[in-house]
Amino acid sequence: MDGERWAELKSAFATLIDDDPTERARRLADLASTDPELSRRLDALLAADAQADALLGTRLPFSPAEDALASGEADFTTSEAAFANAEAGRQADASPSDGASAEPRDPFGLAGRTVSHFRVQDVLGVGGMGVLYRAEDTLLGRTVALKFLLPQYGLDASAKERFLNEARAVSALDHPNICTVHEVGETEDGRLFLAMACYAGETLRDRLASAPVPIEQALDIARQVLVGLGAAHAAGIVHRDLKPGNLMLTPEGAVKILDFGLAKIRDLNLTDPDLRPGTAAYMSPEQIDGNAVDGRTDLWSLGVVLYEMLTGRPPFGGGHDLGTVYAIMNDEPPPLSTLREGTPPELDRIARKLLDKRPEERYATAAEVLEELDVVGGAPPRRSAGARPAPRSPRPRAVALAALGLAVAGGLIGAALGLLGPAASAEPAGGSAAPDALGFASPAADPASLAVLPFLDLSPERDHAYFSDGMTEELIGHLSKIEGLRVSASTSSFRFRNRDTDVREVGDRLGVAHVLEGSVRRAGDRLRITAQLVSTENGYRLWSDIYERRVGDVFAVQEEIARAIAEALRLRLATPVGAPVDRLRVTSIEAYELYLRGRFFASRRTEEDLAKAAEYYGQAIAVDPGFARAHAGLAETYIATRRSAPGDRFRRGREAALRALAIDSTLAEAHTAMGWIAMWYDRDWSGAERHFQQALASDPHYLWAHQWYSAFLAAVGRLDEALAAMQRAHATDPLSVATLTHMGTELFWLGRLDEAVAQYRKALDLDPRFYMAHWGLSRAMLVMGRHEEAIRELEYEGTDYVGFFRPALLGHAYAVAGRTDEARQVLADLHARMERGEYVAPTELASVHLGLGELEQALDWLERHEADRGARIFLAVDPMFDPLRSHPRFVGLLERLGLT
Amino acid sequence: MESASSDVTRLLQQWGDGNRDALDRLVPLLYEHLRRIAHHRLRDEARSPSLNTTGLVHEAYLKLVDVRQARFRDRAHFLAMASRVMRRLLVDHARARRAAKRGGGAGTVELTEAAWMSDTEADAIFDLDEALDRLAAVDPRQSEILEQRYFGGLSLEEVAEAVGLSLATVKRELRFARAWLAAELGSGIA
Repeated sequence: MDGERWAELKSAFATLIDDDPTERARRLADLASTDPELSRRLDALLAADAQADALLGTRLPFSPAEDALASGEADFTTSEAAFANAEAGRQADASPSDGASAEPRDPFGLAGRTVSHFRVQDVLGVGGMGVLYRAEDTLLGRTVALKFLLPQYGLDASAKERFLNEARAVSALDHPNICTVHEVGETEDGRLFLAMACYAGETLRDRLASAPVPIEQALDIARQVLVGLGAAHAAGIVHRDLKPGNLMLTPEGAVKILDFGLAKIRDLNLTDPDLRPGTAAYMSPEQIDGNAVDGRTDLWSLGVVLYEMLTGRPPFGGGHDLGTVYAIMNDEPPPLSTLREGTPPELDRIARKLLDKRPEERYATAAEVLEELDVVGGAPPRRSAGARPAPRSPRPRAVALAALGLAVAGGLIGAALGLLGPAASAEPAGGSAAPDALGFASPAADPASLAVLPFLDLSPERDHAYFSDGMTEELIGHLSKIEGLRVSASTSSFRFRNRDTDVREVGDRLGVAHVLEGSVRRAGDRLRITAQLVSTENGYRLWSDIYERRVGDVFAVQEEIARAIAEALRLRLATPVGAPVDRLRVTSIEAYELYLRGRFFASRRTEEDLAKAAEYYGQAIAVDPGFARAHAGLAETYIATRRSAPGDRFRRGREAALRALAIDSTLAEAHTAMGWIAMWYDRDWSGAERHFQQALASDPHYLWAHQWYSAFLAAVGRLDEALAAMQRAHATDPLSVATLTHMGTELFWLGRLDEAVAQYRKALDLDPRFYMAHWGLSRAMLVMGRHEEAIRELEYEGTDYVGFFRPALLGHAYAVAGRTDEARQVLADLHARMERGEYVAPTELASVHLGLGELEQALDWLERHEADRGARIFLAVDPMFDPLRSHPRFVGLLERLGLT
Repeated sequence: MESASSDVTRLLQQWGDGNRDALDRLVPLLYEHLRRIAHHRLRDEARSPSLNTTGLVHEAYLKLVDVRQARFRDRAHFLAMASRVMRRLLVDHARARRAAKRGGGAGTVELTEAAWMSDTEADAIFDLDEALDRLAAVDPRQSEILEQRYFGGLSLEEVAEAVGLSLATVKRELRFARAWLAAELGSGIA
């Protein structure tokens, strides 16, 4: 093509590109009559333009970020401007509201469409790495933010795997200062997306644009960011791209760190917009150098953010020049105090240390910075002030102070008194909360309540988590024996494994007034335990102590700590509490350790872990055959496995439980196991009830006893009692996924379906993979007639389902939804599993036949179930079996099972 | 590094003032430097063995040019030239990769460095390189803009400065060039 023709083509292209499609077609047609060749070429180019993003994004190994989104039906300049605005909002100095002439556009055209189980609503923003949409999660009925990565972040298979792993690690963080990532997924055309919590509020970038940040607030924001970073770093995750645009400030005053680990995807990719305008300002020297980075890079970035909050601009440039990068590498920023009046001198030093060009000269951990910031801000000891801007309702501090003075003598209390002094006289005495400013009484936690956070493993190799966890559980056990004291179950308090969680948040979520936390350092035979009791109301330390002992003295120390707590709280509570009772009865520390290892694995519940747990329990028993709880643990692992058929599981479980009871006839764990066997296998209903009640009498806080007793009550049709039993369990264990799920199931039996669905969703919020909650949710949806939703829920892959439960219910769901062929396929698959020697409960085959309306076949299977004693004991209350209710064979079956 | 930095800064100024010999001396310096930092980076980031072209070109500028003495126009020229050198470097590596695969000699590039890119990436680089040559035959400026965008990772502002056009013109040119490239590469697949 010669130059003249080329120029013609370019000129015509420029003219037509901005036309609407109709006008464009008309002009092309006109042109075709006069210059068909030019028309043809133009047509091809215009078509290519529409696909340029997609095509170049996938064909080229690198592609500058701004190029994407540029074409399509969008006007180039407008699209670029919208992009630039959003970028500016996130990355540079301007607020998006400043110059955002255009509403955020929808570059992927996803609004109104459904992706996976998300109904996409509108665009929330367009950023450097992707487009953020608001969407409804149709499975869970909540609003989420979906981030779709730009096409140039399309990764090859291994990079994608690494990204997904990272994203999953982030989603596992579950921290109040880190944006919750619900899910990572991939669209049908291979585009990656993240489903995240959708927060109200503004970014720190917006906040910085509107007005200067008061020093106090800047410190609070920094603290919350540090708490979040601490949690992530502890999990081995580095943010790499911390900046004001990535910090969300909610109206409640909480700070949420966004896009955690997302920067990693850039390292997995050829394209690197690192040095694009604005972003460089927060990069650390080692990032610029292309060296490996760790948590200290985030601390550098936090230093920059802190500096910017206080002075209004980042310390190094901030313009659009590589000068910023040069400054980061070479310049020392002026001290904060010269730029912001009233900056505490201590803060100058902290900022300087955060911004040391050598990572090894910076703080090593977020916790170190927090400690020093606390000195500056006069915050409560050890823990950060955290997300709590709303004024707390006044509490009866006078009472607490009197107790404090008595409980512990010393300087700490003096300091606490000094801080609390003015408030003390003004407030009413008494146990309940006074109305707050709005006139609502905020529910104050019962003062006689306590959560024990997992003690930190500080052993040299950090390989004694099983020991520190075990210690924590023992302490919970001891403390639970204190009369009048409500202690959170470990299943709930262990959710706060990360030490940096604000104690007040812990208090709120667990409904407790106190938190006991500590550490265990074990080196050889030596044991060093620290423990402290903290008030969740104000974060003050009520008691603390350090114990240096031999490992063999571990039981004595546990008791000592429990006594000290009882002491401290007795003074505080003025009601007598009983002394802790020894509940362990083990003579050998070696057996105890093996037992703790067993329990550590048993709590994970996968088949591999259960097998390991059984092995350790067995070894513990070999060392100390009189160790009752090791026998009971063994019973539990046998029962819990799903690998073998019920007969074998329950026989071995019963043997172990009976051995435990022969040693200790009151042991709650053993009675619970026996109750379980009586109920599921023997169908001995009165025997089951006796065992459960005995278990609860021995240990009113033993969770599994509550859970299985409640299941028992449901099976025999005492549904209201069943719900009440679960509610009692819930009170000590508000964050246990299993407890929430069981409550959902009791509500389901009661026909309170909406409430059941809500409970299941709460459980899934805590653990999106928990299959029992997914399973329950699907069953509720089926009964509600929401067949397709139930099917989608069951087809969802991101769960920890094992065995035959899911396929069987899916078969039933296909059948009732009229998808008969698929239901038959499931039946065939289940039969194939059985032929391979896998165990499939006959009730599950029955459920598929029921869905198909094949009542006689269903009954055949149910009658086989009678002999096989498999999965379902809820035949009397399960709505799935309603079609059979009046069938003589079914009535006979229930009678024989003793369920009428 | 001090002397390299002042060398490059001086050569860059001379080149900016119209001295072509300066360019001849700059290019090999830059080629070697880009190769070294790419190699260094990939060795350190063994877990994500992929080239970061934008970062490399800008990093080279940072390390080789004394920012305090350089003029903004010089910087744009440097980045433009570095984009070209980067293109050559990548094409050399793509070629080495192909040769290594055939079992032949690795040419000017060490064999280990051929692992910088995957086969797909190597093919993409060849395709892009050849397409840019074809485009240069009819419209050298557009070819240059694409080169700076794709091989150098220059921002639109930097491209505008380097080619001496307004931002609006660069955007218009780029839109056409990308459509042309998409059509070229698209038909290459079909």
